Amino acid sequence: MEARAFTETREFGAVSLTAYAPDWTWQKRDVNILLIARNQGTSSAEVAVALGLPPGQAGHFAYEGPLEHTLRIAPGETVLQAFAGITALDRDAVANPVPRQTYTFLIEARGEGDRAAIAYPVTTIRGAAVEPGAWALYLPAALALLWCAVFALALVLMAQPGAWRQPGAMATQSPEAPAWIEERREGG
Amino acid sequence: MSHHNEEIGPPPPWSLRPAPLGRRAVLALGAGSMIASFYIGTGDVTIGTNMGALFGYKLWWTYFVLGVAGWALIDMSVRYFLRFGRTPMTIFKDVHPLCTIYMFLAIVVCATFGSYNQWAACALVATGFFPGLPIEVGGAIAAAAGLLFLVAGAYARIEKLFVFGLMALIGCFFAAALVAGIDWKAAGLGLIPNAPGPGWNKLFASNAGSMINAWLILIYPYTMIERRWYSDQLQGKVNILHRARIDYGWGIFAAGVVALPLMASAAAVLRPFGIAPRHATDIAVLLEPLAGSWSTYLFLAGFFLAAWTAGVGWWLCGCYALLDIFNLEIKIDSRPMRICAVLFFIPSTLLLLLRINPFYQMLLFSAFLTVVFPLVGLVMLYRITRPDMGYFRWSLKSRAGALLIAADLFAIGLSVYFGIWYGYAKFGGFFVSR
Repeated sequence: MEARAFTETREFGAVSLTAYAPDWTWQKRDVNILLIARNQGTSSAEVAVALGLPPGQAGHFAYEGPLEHTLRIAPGETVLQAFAGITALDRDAVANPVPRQTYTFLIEARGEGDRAAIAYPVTTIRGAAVEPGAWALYLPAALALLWCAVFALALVLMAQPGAWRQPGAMATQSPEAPAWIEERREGG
Repeated sequence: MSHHNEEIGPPPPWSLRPAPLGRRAVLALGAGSMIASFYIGTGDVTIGTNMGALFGYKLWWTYFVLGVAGWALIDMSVRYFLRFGRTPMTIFKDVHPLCTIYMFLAIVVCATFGSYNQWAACALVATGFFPGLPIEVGGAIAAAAGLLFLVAGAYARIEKLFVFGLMALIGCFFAAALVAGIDWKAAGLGLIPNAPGPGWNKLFASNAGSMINAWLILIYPYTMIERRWYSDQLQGKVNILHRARIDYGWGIFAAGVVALPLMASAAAVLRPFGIAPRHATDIAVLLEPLAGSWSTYLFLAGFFLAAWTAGVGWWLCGCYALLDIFNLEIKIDSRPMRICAVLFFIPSTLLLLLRINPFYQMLLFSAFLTVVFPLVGLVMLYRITRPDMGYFRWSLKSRAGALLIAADLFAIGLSVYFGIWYGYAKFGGFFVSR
């Protein structure tokens, strides 16, 4: 059994590049891709990493960050980089529903006269029934408020008439109360 | 009522000293662990990781400042119970029937909403391990397990589970964070109150909703009834109060402590890239390259435990408070308790169909709680400041009494501040921002 996540490593030259990301997401929520570049060589390396959105389906995602980063990695060092906040949309630019499916992003790395590519598949599932924002609060609260009637009916049937307006019975000391309760300080 | 020699007169407020507890103080942490597990749910994970992702360790202090307020609020309800032998909802019945109606609505809405968030979070973890499992099914299974446990459980068994669950989740989160690396110096500096930058106060407000949230702070007297912690004698009441304070003090402290590994994990993994966590796997998956694959499992296991125990906790609190309002027996293995648990199960499971991300929704819900709470706090303050509180009344004649007044005023002041300022004044803009 493994926690479901995408992990893929490519070697090019003395640099190894590993991508970590979730491999499913709700529509309307974000995907974050973390890249780890390790330089196992004896000289510095400069690596350009680029994110390719799914061909022909770029409109199914909203992403405002840079599509390319340049990583400078000293020998023996590790550098982290991320493509963060890639939102899987449930409606395209003309408000047509986006079908749930598996997309394939491409993460490319170039440097040291070498290149590597990692295909990153991510599957979308149905997202929230309401838009993020106030309705994500009001709708569940309203449904719970309606359910109060069911609770009121059930509790009134189980309770004495008018109990909700009367104070409850006073607690009294139980014969089974723990003995430490009645202990006194020495000399007290 | 206490039985004191009428010729000598009753002792002045806060003048009696409790009998020493010795090693029992350590063993008294049952209900406190329940309190901790209510605090450490999806809310704590969400808020702690968001704080870590945005500000590193700089907002760790908020847990302890709010913890003092939470402690004072629990203490008010315990003092009232010890003084009169009456349960917390009587406070509201004493004031006005509208207060009781308000509490009834708040309890049903918040316990339904709060528990549903926890089941959704459990489902999030479950789908990480079993990708084919729909979120609604995963959440319903977690909720059903919680219901079975509540329906079948005796109080002592539930308390034991919560102690175990709390230890396990603290262990999981710390283990995950330790392998990722905790910056102890930065963590220490995070205990000094500071305002680290734009947006910190919204997280502070959400944390206030999570730490001093509504009637959860009223649950402690119910656990005292279950444990038969009540005495007719004043010295007995003083002994109980002493032991109870250690107990819920531990619970609140544990909630603050567990925030550290959450912040550490988020600070190590998310902060360098400005990722605001909205998904458990954001942290769990991204922990792997820094701390190895086990950190992912540990974090997810801790998250599941936190969410599940908090889900059971929401139902438990809700059921107790509703039984209290209707003067039904406060007992976990009673028929009304079971019926209430089933009635919470139905809507909180159906709400899973909305598929709202629990990480996101928890931030909204915590802010919502800051709006619900101030009335509860003000009514309690009104009740415990009345002169009929006897030995447990407000008094400036001793240092303990003066400290207590300061703590009470601080707690209520904080709650009213967040309720009015962040709740009403910024209601729209606060909630619709993503």
